[in-house]
Amino acid sequence: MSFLTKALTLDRRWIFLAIGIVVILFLLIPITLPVDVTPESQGVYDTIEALPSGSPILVAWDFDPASKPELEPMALAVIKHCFRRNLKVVAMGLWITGAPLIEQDINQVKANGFQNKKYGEDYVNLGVKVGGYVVVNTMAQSIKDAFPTDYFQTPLEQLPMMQNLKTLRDFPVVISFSAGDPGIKDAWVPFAHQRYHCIVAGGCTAVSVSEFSPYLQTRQLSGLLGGMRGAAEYEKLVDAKALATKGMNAQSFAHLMIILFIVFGNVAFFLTRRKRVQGAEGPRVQG
Amino acid sequence: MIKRQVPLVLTFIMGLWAVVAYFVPHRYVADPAQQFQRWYLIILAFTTVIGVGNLIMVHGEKIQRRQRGWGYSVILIAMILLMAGLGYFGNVQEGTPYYWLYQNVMSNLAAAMFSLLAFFVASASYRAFRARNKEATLLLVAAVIVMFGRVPVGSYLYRLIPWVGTHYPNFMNDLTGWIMNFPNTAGQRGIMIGAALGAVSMALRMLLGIERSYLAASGGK
Repeated sequence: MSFLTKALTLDRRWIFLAIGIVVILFLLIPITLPVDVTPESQGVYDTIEALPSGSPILVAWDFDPASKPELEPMALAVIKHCFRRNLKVVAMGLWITGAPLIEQDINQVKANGFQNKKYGEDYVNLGVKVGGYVVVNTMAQSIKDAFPTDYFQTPLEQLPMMQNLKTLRDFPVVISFSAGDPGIKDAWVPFAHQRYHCIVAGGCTAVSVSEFSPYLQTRQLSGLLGGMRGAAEYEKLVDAKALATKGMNAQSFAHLMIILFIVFGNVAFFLTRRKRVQGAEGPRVQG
Repeated sequence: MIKRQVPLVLTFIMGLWAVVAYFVPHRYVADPAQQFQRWYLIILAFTTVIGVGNLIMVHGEKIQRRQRGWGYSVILIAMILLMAGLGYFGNVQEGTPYYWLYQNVMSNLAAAMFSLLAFFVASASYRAFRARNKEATLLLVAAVIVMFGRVPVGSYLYRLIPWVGTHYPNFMNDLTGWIMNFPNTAGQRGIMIGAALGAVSMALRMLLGIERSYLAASGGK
């Protein structure tokens, strides 16, 4: 079998190995590549920055541990921004398997410079409620109907911050970190934004960016953080470079490796095709 | 007749009420709609029980018959019962055994499973992105531009190109943005409109009782 034929039928385990080595290598090598901020990520930053100090903000953890590597870094950066702006954060989620992530992430941000933030006064964790857009609709009439107690089983009446926050309409801005459905597309934009006129912004996994771009164009989403790149951009905006910035180094070179493989595969494809056309010997290889 | 007709009538009334309540804010319409939504959340909780019960039945049968892979079924059922028990009889917050299992087992395994996609995408890209014809070439070029432009190293390397990189430093970012915001968005919008029209059509069929696949086998005939 010629080298070109072997190249076209390369065992995918070699590709897996190459990607694995590149990712591990560039996670360990401390390179810092400059990250350019896109208008979409700037939109999320500007939305939060425009809120007066002390305003309430609803932040939804609509993801599970599978999407944690992409969405958790952006959640940490956004919560840091909210705490820095002294916004009153009400945290919740629509994905049952993401419930412990909410408290974990808030505690992680608190431990890094925001130990003065008090539960019940500066932030509240409502926990998770399954039901997708029905939860959003229910919250629009009464938050207590959807969440009678918070994550720690405390009735909402006993939380000082929730005294003036009765419905979804009391929140000018909703931020959702969305790994799929339920999330931005089927719950927050059609209901919180379209029906109840909240400003909605958020973040999503990189594969979902393309399906949310129509909402950005129509301003139904005021901003969107796309995958780890979006998280790295937000870390740059809030001046808190962390996991996402580090992860982008590995992702950068993994992308380069994939591009090199694609170029290599196409070169082998064209050379094989030319040989076949010229009547060279060798098996007919399907591209 | 009762098994067939009652569910269809209920579906029609509840579905129509939900649609009308979206447009009519009057309390005689909106308040019952709100109550229906509370019922929905309660019923949803019961579907979790059905789901878990079904899972245990399927895997229990697999264990009983010693089918291939029955050992994994034992682990699955054991972990379901363990996590449910720890959560129900204990606490789920930081410092508890439930949290430890969530943080150190489930979270990491779930992230690892999703991360496997990166390797499969790399392998699929190598095989799929071949310039066999004009359309495939267009797809290949667009994919390479977006892959290159969406990572910091892409902009960095582009700016090293003599003259072009210094006189038009944002061209790579702008080109990537243009591909995402125009051709991609146009295609996505078309897909979304098509899917929405299909959903409206299906919903209408279900409301009017034409589509009955959601009923049990005997009731759906």
